Amino acid sequence: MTELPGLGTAFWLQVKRDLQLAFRHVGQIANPLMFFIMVTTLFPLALNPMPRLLEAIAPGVVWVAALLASLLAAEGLFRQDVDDGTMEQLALSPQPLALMLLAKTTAHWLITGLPLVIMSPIVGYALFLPPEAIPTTMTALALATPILNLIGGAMAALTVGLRRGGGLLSLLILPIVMPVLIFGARATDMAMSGMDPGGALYLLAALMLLALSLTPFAMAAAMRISLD
Amino acid sequence: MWTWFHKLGSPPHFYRISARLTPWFAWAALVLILVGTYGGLYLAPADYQQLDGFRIIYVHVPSASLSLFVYVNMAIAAAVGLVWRIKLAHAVAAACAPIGASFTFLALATGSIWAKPMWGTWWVWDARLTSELVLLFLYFGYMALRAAIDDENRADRASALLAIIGVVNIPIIKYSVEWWNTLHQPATISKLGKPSMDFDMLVWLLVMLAGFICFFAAVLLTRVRAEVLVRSRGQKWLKQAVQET
Amino acid sequence: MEFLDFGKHTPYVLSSFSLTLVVLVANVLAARGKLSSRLTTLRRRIASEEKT
Repeated sequence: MTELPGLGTAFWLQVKRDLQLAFRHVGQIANPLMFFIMVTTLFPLALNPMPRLLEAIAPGVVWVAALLASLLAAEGLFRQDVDDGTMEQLALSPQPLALMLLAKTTAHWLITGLPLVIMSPIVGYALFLPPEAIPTTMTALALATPILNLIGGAMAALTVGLRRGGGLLSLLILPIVMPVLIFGARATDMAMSGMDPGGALYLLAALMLLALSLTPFAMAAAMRISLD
Repeated sequence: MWTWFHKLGSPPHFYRISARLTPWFAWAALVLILVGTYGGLYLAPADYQQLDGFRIIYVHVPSASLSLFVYVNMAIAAAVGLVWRIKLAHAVAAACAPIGASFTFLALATGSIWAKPMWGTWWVWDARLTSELVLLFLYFGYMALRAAIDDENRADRASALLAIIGVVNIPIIKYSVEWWNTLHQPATISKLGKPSMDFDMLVWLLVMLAGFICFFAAVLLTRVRAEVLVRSRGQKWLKQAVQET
Repeated sequence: MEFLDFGKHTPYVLSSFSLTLVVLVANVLAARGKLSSRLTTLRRRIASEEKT
């Protein structure tokens, strides 16, 4: 009998596979990112594009937009694989489902979360976010987007395959990720006022570690419930 | 409270016992709530700062406490159902949700009514009201998920997992909202919470709280019986039980 | 109606207590209504099964 690949190998193979699949439809990758940029554009259009006003609301706008973009991305996380039967194979395989789903979420973050982090300086600049707040915002987003993807993944696993889904996924995700919004926006805000954002960043990091350690198991349990 | 339904895992047994228990809880609730209302409205001394307005506390705090208590109850029942695969526990969780949501709504409404004379606006982004609002969303999410899944078994287990995720997040949400609120609180606002209370104010609060808990028990038992009827389709004990009532 | 007078906060106190009453009564009615409608449906079904 051939030896089973180790956990690390299995993880990276899964990540690679998902990345390869995603890059076959490069256009779709850009959707959450475009959404992020468009939402941030909506606010100056809807309000007075005065620099002082925009600067005041910039932290809120950036963070709400990132949240909504990750909501959008969560929809498509597992749907394809469940539809074509790959997920069942994954659940039946000897590799731990939690690890495989974590791998999928990692690939997903690389495609939908990381671009938000990279785009944030440009978006921040457009909203007159002061340059000194940019590094903090990027760090905070780098910590927050994995949390958003992980929780999005858990809720997506719960609702995968439901026909009457609709806005259900958003309703499930939003209450749970509000702390992320609070700490993240606060970090940006503190950096803007020249204060040390350390407290907020540490809290975000703590949430990220908590999510990283617990959500894969929740995802796996939810997926098994949905596949039955 | 949640240990006894562990023993009462058998639906027919539960159905008969809860039918007999409900009137006790119902009458206890009625008496306690009436006594608490009278005491809170007429016997408790008026607050030095808030005058008679503070009396709203006698409905606001019990509602808010119950809204949280019911959610925790729901999550524990869900966990019991998920881990030990006891169907009745899932029925209890399902029955808890609408009751808890109504208490949350009541807490928000009474909190809002209290806010108007105190701070001049109907809504304030006070830490506790905001947390209550998020709790309402958690209840709605739970009920929406249940409604969206047709298969009873999958609905039970998926919503159970959701309830557990929610209950784990409640302390995190409460902490983050309080943290957020202490930074943004204008100087004039004092906490909408309980001031350190004299006993003659506190006693009526405890009476109302006890009354609300008995009320919850009575309504819950009724709803669980209704759930059991639907879930036990085709079982032999049903016919006799239905004809007995 | 002296006993319903709570100074300048009367409308607030009265409205919150009456709202509480409404919500509590609604809970009772909803729960009992659900139980009785399900009992009725079951009884009807049992009756029709016994006929066949």
